[in-house]
Amino acid sequence: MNQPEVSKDEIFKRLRDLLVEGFELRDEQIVPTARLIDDLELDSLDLVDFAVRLEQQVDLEIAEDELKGIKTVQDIVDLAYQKLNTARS
Amino acid sequence: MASTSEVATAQASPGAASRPARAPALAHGWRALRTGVAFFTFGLGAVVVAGIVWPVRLLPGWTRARREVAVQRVVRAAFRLFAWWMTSLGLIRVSWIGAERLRGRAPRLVVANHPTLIDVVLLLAQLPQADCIVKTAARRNPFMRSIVTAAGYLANEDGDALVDACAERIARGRSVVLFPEGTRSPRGGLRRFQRGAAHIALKSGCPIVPVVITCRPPTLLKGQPWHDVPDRRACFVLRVAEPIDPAQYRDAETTAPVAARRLTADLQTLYERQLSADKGHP
Repeated sequence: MNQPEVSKDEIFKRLRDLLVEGFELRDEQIVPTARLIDDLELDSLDLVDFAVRLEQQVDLEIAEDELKGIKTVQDIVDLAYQKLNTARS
Repeated sequence: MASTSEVATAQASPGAASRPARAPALAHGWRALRTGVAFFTFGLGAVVVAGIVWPVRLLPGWTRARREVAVQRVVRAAFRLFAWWMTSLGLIRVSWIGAERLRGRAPRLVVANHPTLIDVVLLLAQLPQADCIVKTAARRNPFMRSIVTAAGYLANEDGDALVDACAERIARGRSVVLFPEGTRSPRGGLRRFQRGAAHIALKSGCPIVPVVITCRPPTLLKGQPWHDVPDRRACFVLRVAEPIDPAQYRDAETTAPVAARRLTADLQTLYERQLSADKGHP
């Protein structure tokens, strides 16, 4: 039996918590259109740390190539939605 | 290099007010000519130093680390000579405050703001050993590339790899110098600090030794042509602040990115306060 699908809303909330706790950002900064580097000021080391946290806490593995393609919070939500739901089906 | 007391005495030489002022255009031309001589000497010096350090790679029985430190000593001597030469040409005056914090047991992570082209010359002239981070452009010049490679200086490339490389050098007891602004400061100010220095300090546990550099009047700014010289000698003050222990930013509750952000924010505040205080002095 397939597991229930994880909604984009649910993924967004988990990502928001992770960004707020891990990088000392404010809730209101985390919006779908927020750019990771320009708006949230994550640097290359933060992005690596973020990828590790995604793997540990959301069970989402992001390859280096995929990480380079991510620009906004929405990009991660879309990628996570696709990966998590593919894994469950 | 001049001491602080020399700066204080030389600024108001007796009889200066009664001397007839040299025509401004002539004085400017004369200063530009001397600056040109200094630039030419630097280029010539790079060729000479490249020639001196080239045979070091052939020394039998020397480890790579030993060769790199030997080359760094040659660079230090050359930079001391160049700083003396610029001082003798009447172009700069250099004053250090708290330089003793750069002596004694290494390693240390020396960070500095970057108001002028020659900050690295003044810093490396003071440090017995220092691995610095070099722009890719400096590697295009064959003489510079030869020196930079022989000295084991690090390339300013990928952020992660650079942090790892700096931490590894520190673990081997070497000191590292970097400019957290990433490039030269804007006129009279500071750029936003990047977090690389904090990441290196947190990863290696090495204290950060901040050096606050002021240069008045401003000169050798980013994008400023060499012949655009100030109307008087540029006075450099390099103030070495108390080292910052990165351990105070790490605890079980604090993630590494948060610790790096806090350490960088404190470092930026330290520089802003010191530069602001210096602006209040004549």
